[in-house]
Amino acid sequence: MDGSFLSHESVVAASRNFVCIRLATYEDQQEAEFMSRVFTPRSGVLENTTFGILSPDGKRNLITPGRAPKHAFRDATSMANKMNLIALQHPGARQAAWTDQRLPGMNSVDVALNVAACDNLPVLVTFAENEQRLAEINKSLLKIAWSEPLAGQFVYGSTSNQQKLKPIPGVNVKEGILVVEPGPYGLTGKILRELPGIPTSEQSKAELLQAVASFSRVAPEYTSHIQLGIQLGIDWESAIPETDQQSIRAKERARAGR
Amino acid sequence: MFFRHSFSIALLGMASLAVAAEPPARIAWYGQLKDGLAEAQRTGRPILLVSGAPQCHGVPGVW
Repeated sequence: MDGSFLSHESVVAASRNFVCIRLATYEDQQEAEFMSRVFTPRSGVLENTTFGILSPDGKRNLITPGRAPKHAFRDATSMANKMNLIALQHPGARQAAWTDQRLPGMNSVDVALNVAACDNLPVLVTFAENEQRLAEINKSLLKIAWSEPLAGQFVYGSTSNQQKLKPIPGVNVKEGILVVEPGPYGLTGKILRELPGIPTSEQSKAELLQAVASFSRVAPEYTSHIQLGIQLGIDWESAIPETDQQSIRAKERARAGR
Repeated sequence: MFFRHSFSIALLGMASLAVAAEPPARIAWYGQLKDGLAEAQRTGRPILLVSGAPQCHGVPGVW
């Protein structure tokens, strides 16, 4: 991820008039097919990082897409300026901020843990014994999730299958919200807070703000993280096969110790 | 006098702590295409789209 652009104050501010989608590459077949159609990479196959700005129907590229923001813009300010211009051309953009009707969840708790470890952010897991209760919990969280200053502070996961909570030991209630610190490789998680039942807005918001403020996981150093991960025999298996040849060759070299 | 100064300094300190506790603003990402596309179509907002594999050399926890 191109953090220098995507974490820049001006880009974050401009993003509030956009729907921002960040997909975990190779974790969903339909998403991979969409990305391949939208980005049509020179290599002909889906590369492991992509970047673009699309029309609201998702069918038109509004900039020349590429692998990262730095391939499209000179710097973060240029990117923010372009985003602000695009927002002005879309009447829906400004009126619709913070009216979202969905939680921004990953497609599984496993992937949420992994992505949270990548981002150095806590995971917010909603869970219940059935889909109806889960939908009620998720709906009650919408205004909290889509408001300043909590927007973007969690990676979200949801499940109505208790088995999917196995990487997070110590769950004491049947439904509610967990704030979880991801393990260093995002394969497990430690419960920081457990909010049982359906949240009430003000109390839950205050508790979640406290959780964010007290979260202090230290970002790992890249090279030692990779080396130790390989030594420990950790090998993330993506949902669909990786197709980025550059990345595949790099993995082969790293695993062979070259 | 001393008390008033101390009190003011304490208040300033508390205000600083409150500011420090506010997390830096971040982009709020949808993690699934279907959710983000539905929201963009519903509201007419343009889409900022990125993807990244949450592993490097097969090691998770890093982009």
